[in-house]
Amino acid sequence: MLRASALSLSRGRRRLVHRAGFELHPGRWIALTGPNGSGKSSLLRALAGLLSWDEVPHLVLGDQRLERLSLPPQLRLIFQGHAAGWKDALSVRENLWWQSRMDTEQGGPAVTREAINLAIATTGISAQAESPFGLLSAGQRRRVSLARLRISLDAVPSCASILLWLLDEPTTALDEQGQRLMGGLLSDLCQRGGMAIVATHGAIPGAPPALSFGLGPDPVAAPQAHAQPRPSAGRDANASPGRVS
Amino acid sequence: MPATVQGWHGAAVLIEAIRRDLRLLLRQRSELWLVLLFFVLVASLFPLALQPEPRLLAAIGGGVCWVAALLAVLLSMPRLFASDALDGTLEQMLLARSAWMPMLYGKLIAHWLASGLPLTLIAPLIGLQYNLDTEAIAILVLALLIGTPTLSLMGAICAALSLPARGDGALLALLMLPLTIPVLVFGTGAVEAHAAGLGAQAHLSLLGAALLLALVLAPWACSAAIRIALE
Repeated sequence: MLRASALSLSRGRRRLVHRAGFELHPGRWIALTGPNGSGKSSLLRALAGLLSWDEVPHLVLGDQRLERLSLPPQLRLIFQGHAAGWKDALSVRENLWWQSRMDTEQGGPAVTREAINLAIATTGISAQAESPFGLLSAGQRRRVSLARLRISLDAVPSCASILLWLLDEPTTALDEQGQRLMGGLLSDLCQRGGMAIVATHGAIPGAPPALSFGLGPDPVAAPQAHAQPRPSAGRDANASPGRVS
Repeated sequence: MPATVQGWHGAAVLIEAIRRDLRLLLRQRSELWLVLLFFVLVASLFPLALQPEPRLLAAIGGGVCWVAALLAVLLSMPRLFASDALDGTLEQMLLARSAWMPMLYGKLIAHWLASGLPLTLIAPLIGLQYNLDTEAIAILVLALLIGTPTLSLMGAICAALSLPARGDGALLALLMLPLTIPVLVFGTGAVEAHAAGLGAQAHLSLLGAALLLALVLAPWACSAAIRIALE
């Protein structure tokens, strides 16, 4: 179980998050919502360790205190930001091979050719597998990111590692089928005891129920947010700023 | 690729990173030729601008070669991190935990293999153009072989520092040129010392020491600068 508290983040002089927190159990995911510019991307980057917090946050994994989420070997972190992290000049397959090797934990089993083929097939980009990435459309590029998530799910995990996805608007540019694929991936992730924090504007079809964490314009007024389970999937339009419904 | 293999670490990452960068460069070959042509062009400007008197050329040959090499390496520096920072691959590498430092080393080595090494190999032609004798050319090539990696490493720190400014070339030059003056001085000094009959050993040793220092310190400095740039 991942527990975070005292998360404080600002960009320039704007306070984005003030002493917020969440509790995430294996098999659940958090839908990070909020208007444009509310700091969802920054929060994800800070959780990944790319951005510094205003004050040292209190991060606890199980019973172990953490400095950064990217440090502990038992937490496999997959981060997908706005710049999805693929090279235009390499083919889709080469890109996936490189990225999935980076995603593999040290000392754990490496990714196999079969796993990459399977991921390419299930995300519907087989026809583009050998093309240079730069020739793909926006939606196809997104599907490559989905393939990366699929590979991370299929890579045999070592007994004590938990998969944590930090995704920044993964359904942008995806068509209906693509969004269902994303929902399916989240559902598989939750079944295998992984966790995810996903910044999203709308509901993801096919995804299991999410905990909601809403960012809004007035973070200082937000109390400690402890995510409660909700019956519906995706964003709760009535969540008040900084609170969790 | 094997069915299952131990997780990625150490030498395997380094070699894979070198191969990746070289493969990327081969697909955009213009970058390679740019550096080489620039080097040859700059070195060829001086006999045109000054009077092509053999003794004058032989006297300035080593220095001109070194300045041209420095400028050519400077020209090749922005491509080291800029495109990776732009498409997000740099931050993915940064998040790769223990694989990050080997990957950074791999990028630096690949960069030298595609810029400093070709320059060193073509330097004898420039040496002939400047009427240097065979021994002087040999010393020049040796000095370049030891000195261009140091130039690459120092340039990499400056490239990482100028990332927030979108890899602005002017800022890069302003940072890199003063930093590389010692290498320039010892490099040309080696050729001149040899010409004066004093032997180039001292200068070459100092170049070697600078390389070792840069090999150890530059990647850490690069890493810190990149973390700041990605914030």
